[in-house]
Amino acid sequence: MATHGDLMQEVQVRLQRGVVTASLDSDTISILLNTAYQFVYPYNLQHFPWFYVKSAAITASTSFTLPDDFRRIACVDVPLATFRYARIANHREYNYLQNIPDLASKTANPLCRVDATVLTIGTSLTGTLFYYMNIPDVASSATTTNITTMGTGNAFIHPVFEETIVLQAMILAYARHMQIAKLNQQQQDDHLKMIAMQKDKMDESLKPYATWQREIPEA
Amino acid sequence: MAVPTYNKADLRSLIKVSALTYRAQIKLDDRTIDLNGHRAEMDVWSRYVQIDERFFRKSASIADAANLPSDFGMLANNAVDGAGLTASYIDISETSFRQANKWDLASATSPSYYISAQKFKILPIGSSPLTIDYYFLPTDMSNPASADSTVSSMPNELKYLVAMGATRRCFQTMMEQADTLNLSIEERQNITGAIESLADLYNKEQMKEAKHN
Repeated sequence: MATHGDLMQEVQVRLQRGVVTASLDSDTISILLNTAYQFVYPYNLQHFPWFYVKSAAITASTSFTLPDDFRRIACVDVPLATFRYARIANHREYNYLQNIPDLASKTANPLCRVDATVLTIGTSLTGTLFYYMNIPDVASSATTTNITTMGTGNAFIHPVFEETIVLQAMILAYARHMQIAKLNQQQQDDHLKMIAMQKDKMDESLKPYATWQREIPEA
Repeated sequence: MAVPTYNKADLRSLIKVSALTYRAQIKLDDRTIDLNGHRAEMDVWSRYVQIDERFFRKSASIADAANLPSDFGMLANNAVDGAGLTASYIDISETSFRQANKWDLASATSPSYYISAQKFKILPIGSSPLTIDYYFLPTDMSNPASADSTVSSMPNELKYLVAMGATRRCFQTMMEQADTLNLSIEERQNITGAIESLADLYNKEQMKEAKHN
């Protein structure tokens, strides 16, 4: 259950006690951790999608600019529509609907499409866009930013992934250190061997999460 | 039925004793041992939530837009309830999003809910609090502020599995820090062998539990 600062400290301590005394400045460690967050993000999104559900209000619009942290669409809630939700033309469940003229966009049965930066809506509507967000970069000075502490409303990553994050950041730190220190091949191998072993064990322990995926009923 | 538990000091002792089985001594500070203990608990949690979830099931009444409980791990399936409501409740956070245009989800007696960035949201907004069932996370015993007598929220019957995983993690940490800890060649060999052996044993224990259930 950690903040950005906790994880920075853990990475620093483990590096200093490790096979190479790779002392790094906090900005660098922060960048490595941010890289690790992004590495873990797709796994977290798959297993714990509710971390990333957000909403944005759409007011009488036919072209709604997607939020900056938009990753992919979940649904568009339209209270006045007959079926409450808009159909999303290029959503994977609705691909086949696009060429059916009977399903043209109407107030009672609206149709949307996600484009590069906007949500294009067939008929003007007021509602709510639900979407999955990206993880933002966390500044090195933002040490109190919550990363894995649950129940506070803004954790980015489930605590089961903490060790994976730390190891991933350490691997990046070692790789960086080796490039700068110009070590020979044998030294490089020694440095990476133990950390790679840790990482392999973590990968093994992540396998059971695959069973958490729910079956998606046929549409 | 009360579930027997163990405390922080118990687990740390058990890890140290387990290590001696492999002719190796844990040369780590207590904080690091506790951290490995906690991470091992998280490993066991993530597996047992699927194998024997009853240990980790808990309920809480959640109002609209409230934070989830601090020990929230994940939502149990079909696990939302509320007094005075006539129909089942629809989770629009995952699969139902994809089926959204099949149903009229707006109903005072049959509210929909979803979890947004770890806040519980009920549609239509303003519904009464709903009771959710969820799987709680183990207590974070790696927190230096918690006393040795802090009781773990893991059941006793998982203690040895946790200790096994924690010992393996401690050995891995020692190998990661082998030079700093001045480990001898013999110690390194013992520990490397112990890591493999513990991993093997750990997986067999997991399989045994899975069959049992």
